Amino acid sequence: MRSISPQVDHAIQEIQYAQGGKSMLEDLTLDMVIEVLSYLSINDLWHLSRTSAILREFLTRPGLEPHWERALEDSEDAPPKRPEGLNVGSFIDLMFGNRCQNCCKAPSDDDPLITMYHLHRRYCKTCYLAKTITYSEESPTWILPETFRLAPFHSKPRRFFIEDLAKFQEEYLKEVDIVYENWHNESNQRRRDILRAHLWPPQNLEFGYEDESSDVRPSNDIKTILEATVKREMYEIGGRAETFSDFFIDSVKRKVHEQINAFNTAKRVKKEIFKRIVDDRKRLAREAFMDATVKATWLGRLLLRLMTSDFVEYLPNVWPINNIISQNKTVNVLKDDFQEPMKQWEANLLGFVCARSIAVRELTKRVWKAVGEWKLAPWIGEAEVLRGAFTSTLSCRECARSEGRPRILMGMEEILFHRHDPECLSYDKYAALNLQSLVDARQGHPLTLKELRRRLDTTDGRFVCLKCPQQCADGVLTVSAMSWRQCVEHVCIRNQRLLPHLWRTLGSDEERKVKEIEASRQQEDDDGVYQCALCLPSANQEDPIPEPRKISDVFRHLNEIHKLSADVFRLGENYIVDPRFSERGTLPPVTLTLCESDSNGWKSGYRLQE
Amino acid sequence: MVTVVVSDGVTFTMEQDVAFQCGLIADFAGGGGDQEEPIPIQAVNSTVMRKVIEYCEHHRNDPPQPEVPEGTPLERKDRRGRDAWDKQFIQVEQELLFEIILAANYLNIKPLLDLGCSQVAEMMKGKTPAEIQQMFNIVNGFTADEEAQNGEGEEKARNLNS
Repeated sequence: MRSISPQVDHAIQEIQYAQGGKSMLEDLTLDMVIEVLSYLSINDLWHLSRTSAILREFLTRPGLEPHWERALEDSEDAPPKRPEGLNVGSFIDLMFGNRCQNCCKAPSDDDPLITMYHLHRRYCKTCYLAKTITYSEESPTWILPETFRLAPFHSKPRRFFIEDLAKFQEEYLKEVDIVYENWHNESNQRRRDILRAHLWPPQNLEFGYEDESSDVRPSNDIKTILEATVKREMYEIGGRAETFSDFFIDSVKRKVHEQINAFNTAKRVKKEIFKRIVDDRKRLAREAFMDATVKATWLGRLLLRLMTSDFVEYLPNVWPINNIISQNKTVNVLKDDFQEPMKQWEANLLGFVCARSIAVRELTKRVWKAVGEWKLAPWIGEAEVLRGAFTSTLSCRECARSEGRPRILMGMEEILFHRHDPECLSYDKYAALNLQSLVDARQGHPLTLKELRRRLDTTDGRFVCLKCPQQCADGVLTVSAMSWRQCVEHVCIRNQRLLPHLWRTLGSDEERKVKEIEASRQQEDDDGVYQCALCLPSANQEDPIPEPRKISDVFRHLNEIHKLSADVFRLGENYIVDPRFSERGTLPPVTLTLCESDSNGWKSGYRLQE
Repeated sequence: MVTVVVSDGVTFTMEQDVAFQCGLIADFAGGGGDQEEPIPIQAVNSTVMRKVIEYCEHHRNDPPQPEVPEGTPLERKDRRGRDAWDKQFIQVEQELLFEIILAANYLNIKPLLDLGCSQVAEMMKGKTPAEIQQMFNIVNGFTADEEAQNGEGEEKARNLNS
């Protein structure tokens, strides 16, 4: 057939004829052919380019690239975008070619093709693995940075082309003026570390990426990574968005919303946590306040009980009353607040607490602090406190602090027994607090407390408190001559210090006389201080501990209380020796009468009278 | 009325609005009134001219179609002017189809030219290279190695849209 438009250049003039006839396409002009191409999809274009060498050459002309791109954009399956620097023909060949570009083998199930669009390469898996390495497989000679491994491109291990690495490494070492053989020398260690940490990765090098469908150029630039991630998501999702821009916008919007939601969630959680922390702290503060309030209330009650006359009458058995209630005037203000009669046994125990004196001093300090600084919590009725509703709120601070034992909450009665425990009422423990002052008073300077106690026991001196002269009914002043242990107790009770102008040490003559008196009293007490074994409490009884009695009182006690004759008394069966008097130094101090004198060297102007 | 004489001597008389859809005739008549002298169209025979006139008479009342910009997606481009009548009209033999395309190009009938080109593309769609070769009587001219690669690439291409 003859062309009707000979003046127009024919687009395809060299198409050969298959069956001796002429192809109809020969008569079409360039505009017509292009018009036909505009209706073809990417697959049809690919097929048409494979129909003849001439058509392939024609279709891969640079002028026809827009048609290929248009066809690629129109493709429903969103094939990879043509990488920059790759012409249309090569790209189509890369996309549709079905042979390894390295070994020219056809793919198989065990050896599929891997197309790396960003690298313009298509390898079979065997060649791909042979020509690439992962970071873990990195040879010690490579200078791959740590950041390569962290680049979040793919869940699979990222692979790098060896030839790219070698080429880049060569250029890089040349650029930084380092001889490759010297790269691992120790002299270059610091330089190598810096380069690895800061100068890598290179932004102009394309590294392998094991993702067949990706056209992403791997880079460690964060913006590029994000865009690449979005693109890869687009390929994975497939067809969700009509165009890339739509998908990108939706993806960015989605990511922004996710970030906002995450931020709001974190904000809400933080607020909630903060609120809980505040509530917890408020609760702890409230509990601490209640605890302190209850403690103070109970301690106040304890001290006020100590100072009431109900139990003081029992105290002379163990301690002169004048040494205990020296602060009675102050306490009397609150005396009427507590009208509960005190049991005899409780008074005895309290008396022991007082005799140990440090408990009194501690309680006194706490109570005055409580009275002066604390108020009873409004939600705790005072009646509840007095009724003993909060009974297990006290603990022994000394036990928990000095012996490392856990703090055990105890009630009032438990505290009293606990205080009576000799382990908790060791003289030396509290006396040690003022030993230095005591030493100063005796003008001695021992190296250690143990040595000091030993020396004090050896010296066994007697002391007199110059602030506590007691005037008797006949106008004669009396004074207490104390051992060093009693001296410490006295100081603790009065909250004094053993200053030289407040104390004096008895001389050798005075000391000898005092010791003679003490020895006679000790003999007397040893002979006559007993406890009634019949009155001792059994395990299931709450009877008070029997008070100590002298031998002269034992017979009356047995006759009147137990209806037994005096000859029934047998030591060890009915009566036992009070263990409280078996320890040296626990007897009350010797009371001596001092008379004024201006001679014989008495320091304070008093003279000792027997 | 406008009268034309085709290559095989057959004379066709048509109304002016039908004839003026052909850009060539409209230019020849100069946009004036009735043309008494027959217009010679040597590049088109009577068979093709009948199909052209049939197309023009069917679309005589169509509004002028806007120009489709370059790069228009295929779906929109395919829908352009391809109603059921057009599809039925263009279902002709391949030789006549190419003659219609050439005539439309010669007579400057853009819609008919597009219709013909789209029909050619339609014939190519979904065909393998071998089928296209056979359909349009093309000899490939590839080497044996290229031929092997082409055959394997077809499957790859087929999988892309499958």
